Amino acid sequence: MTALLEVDGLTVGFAGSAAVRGVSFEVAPGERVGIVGESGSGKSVTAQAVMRLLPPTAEIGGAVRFAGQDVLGYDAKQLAGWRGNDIAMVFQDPMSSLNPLLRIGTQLTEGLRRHRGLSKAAAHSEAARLLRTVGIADAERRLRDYPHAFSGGMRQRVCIAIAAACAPKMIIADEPTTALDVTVQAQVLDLLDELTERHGTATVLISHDLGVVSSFCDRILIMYAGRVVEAGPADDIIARPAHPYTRALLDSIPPLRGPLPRRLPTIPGAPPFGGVKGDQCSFADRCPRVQDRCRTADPALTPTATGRPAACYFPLDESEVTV
Amino acid sequence: MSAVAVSGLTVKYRRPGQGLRQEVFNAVDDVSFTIEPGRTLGLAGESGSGKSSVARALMRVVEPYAGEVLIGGQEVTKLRGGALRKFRRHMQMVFQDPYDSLNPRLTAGDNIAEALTAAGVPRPDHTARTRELLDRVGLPAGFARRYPHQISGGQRQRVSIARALAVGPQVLVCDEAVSALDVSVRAQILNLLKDLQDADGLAYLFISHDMSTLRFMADDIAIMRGGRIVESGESKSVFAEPAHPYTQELIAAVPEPGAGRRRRLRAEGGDR
Repeated sequence: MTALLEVDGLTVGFAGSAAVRGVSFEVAPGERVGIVGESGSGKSVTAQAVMRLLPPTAEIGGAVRFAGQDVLGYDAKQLAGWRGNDIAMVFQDPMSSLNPLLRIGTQLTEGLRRHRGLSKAAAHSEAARLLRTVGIADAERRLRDYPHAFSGGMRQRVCIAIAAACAPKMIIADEPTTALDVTVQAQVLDLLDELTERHGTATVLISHDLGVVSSFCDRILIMYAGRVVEAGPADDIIARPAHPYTRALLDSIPPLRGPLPRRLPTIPGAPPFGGVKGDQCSFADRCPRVQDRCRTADPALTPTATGRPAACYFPLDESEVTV
Repeated sequence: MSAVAVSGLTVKYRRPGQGLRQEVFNAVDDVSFTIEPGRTLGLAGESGSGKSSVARALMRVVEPYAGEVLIGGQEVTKLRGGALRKFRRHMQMVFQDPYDSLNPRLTAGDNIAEALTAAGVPRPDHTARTRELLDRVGLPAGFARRYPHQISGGQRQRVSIARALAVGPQVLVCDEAVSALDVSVRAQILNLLKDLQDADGLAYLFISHDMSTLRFMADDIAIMRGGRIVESGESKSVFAEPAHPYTQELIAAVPEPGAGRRRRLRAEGGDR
């Protein structure tokens, strides 16, 4: 299977400070890939670089190919034809990504008329159909409402309806459920699932929440300080993490069942924010397994005993795995 | 004596206007609970359930419409002026976003010193007390000179906690205090809150929408929906055998790492 999206050695810098430091991954058609990381890990910047949403001051290196085309070389006209049609994005805060001054109907039909060339009337009825598919009742009437008339969960569904309007090959969802209640979160994830099943849409789900990502994705990338530090099938990563950071992330989530510790295991310090030294492992200062070698050079993503790649000189192996 | 005893608390929000335009909305409807010193009551619920309104009514940020609130045995719903300010020394609040709740134009040290002034600590003692408070929340003394924008989210939340502790409260209300923090930092702050409770016997009202955090923090738990408490009890038993369907729904909706895709899809099977 050929990849739909290929990101190869992507680097992004802002005024000399590196936000993304060599990220490579592929997404196959219809695949659900999760990118997990804490703030400052570069996960959102990676998504924005792929979507070409970064300001011109960002220094971008590496390659991004979508269906074989070089995305980084697109001009404004190519971008306009690509975004919305082949690829769409859903953001964290639906209030700020919808235009508060335009009716939902206008925002939904924009892409339909532009990319699919529908007439005004056809676009209108298609928009109503889309609203119904995302579970909004009385769609015909609600098309005339403004974003403020919808609740947070409904606004996010509208955003997904807009993203799905032209049945894109890929949707990038950046923390789409972070601002939502848990019960609504489950509905939004279902909706994204339906799109994959119905249109074979590939999804890149970006989140800080390993729980959300592992309940949705086939494959997960763990990012730390602008690099991918571990990658592999979702169930494997959760069951047998190879990188100490992944292990620590999992441990610091309080369990929902079973015995509770008196104190939660923590990772000392805070995630780095820009200004990462490239001459040592970026996790070395917080790592419980740190050794002298970790301070000599930043480890590359290499295969480990678990069968998955991890960027660590001393990955956890099978025998040390305790759940 | 309970640190907090609330009975029949009701909060109404009124839409202004005349005649039919006027609408009254019951944000909190006949809510009762108690918190003993050294214990944590977890208040769970989705947005709009009224959990933050409960906190605000206790702090007298909004006026309760009816009900009794006893903090350390003192009725506080009728307090005014100086007596109200005095009461707030017994109860403090930590908010979700420390970037909004700290004064951005004051250093961390001055933010804390403001609370010390409110507590009546003489000015010459401020530096020493600030240093002491920073130390209690695990920050080096040098942080007193930094501004909120110069420190990380977790560190800002530590400063907010230090400021809340400055007046020597018996009750701490944490309204989604760790929701905005990264997972690795969240665990640190939760541990810190537990340590402070063990040392001082603080009573916590811990408000969160995150069931797994609540299970870790709370001794007792109350589930709110539509302004009412629909289920309450010891945290252990509520999580082991949730009785109300809404509680079951809340717990089932938490995506657990490792449960995988199948569990989520099964858990919801056909309920839409």
